[in-house]
Amino acid sequence: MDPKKARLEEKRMERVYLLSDYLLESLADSGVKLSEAQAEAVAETIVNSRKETIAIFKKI
Amino acid sequence: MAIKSTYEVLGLDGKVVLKTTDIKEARKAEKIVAASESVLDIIKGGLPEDHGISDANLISIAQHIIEKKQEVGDLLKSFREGKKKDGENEPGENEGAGSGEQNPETNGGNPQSESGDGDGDGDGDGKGEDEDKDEE
Repeated sequence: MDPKKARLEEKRMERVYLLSDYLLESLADSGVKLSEAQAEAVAETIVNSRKETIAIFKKI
Repeated sequence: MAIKSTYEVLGLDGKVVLKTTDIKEARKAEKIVAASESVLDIIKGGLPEDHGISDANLISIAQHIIEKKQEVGDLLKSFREGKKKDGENEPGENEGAGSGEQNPETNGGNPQSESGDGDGDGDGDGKGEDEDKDEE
């Protein structure tokens, strides 16, 4: 794989894991039970739509 | 005697999340609900078919993400900070340091409580490396 692409992919996955861990921890208090795989899937979706998500945050 | 209209704002689950006579407050709450809905659409659109998460939980997750937008936003941009510390920041990593916009009334599904989660994220999406290429 192209080193630049590999680095971007590594960075993307790092974000996915960070967000996934964060969601698991923070959602536990609000009564939403997710498996690690489910949290990871949600995190991956958000990370893949990072720019749209940030744009939504800015609207409020 | 003037009659004040009452505004009801419905959450993603169809339940009333705010009842107010203040139209500004109602509009803010509507914006928050709309933002939660947009996040919900993103999540629903990206999850695999067999995700096994109930609709109610998906709504809660979307609302939670909006409530915690500061933290989630920081996580989504986390590598910018890391790069700076290591002194190897690249132009493409620089996503700006903040709009400084404070909005104490924004907190996802419950517009009545005040979380005071000022945004401060900014955009300034750098001109170097295009991270959208992740998705290629």
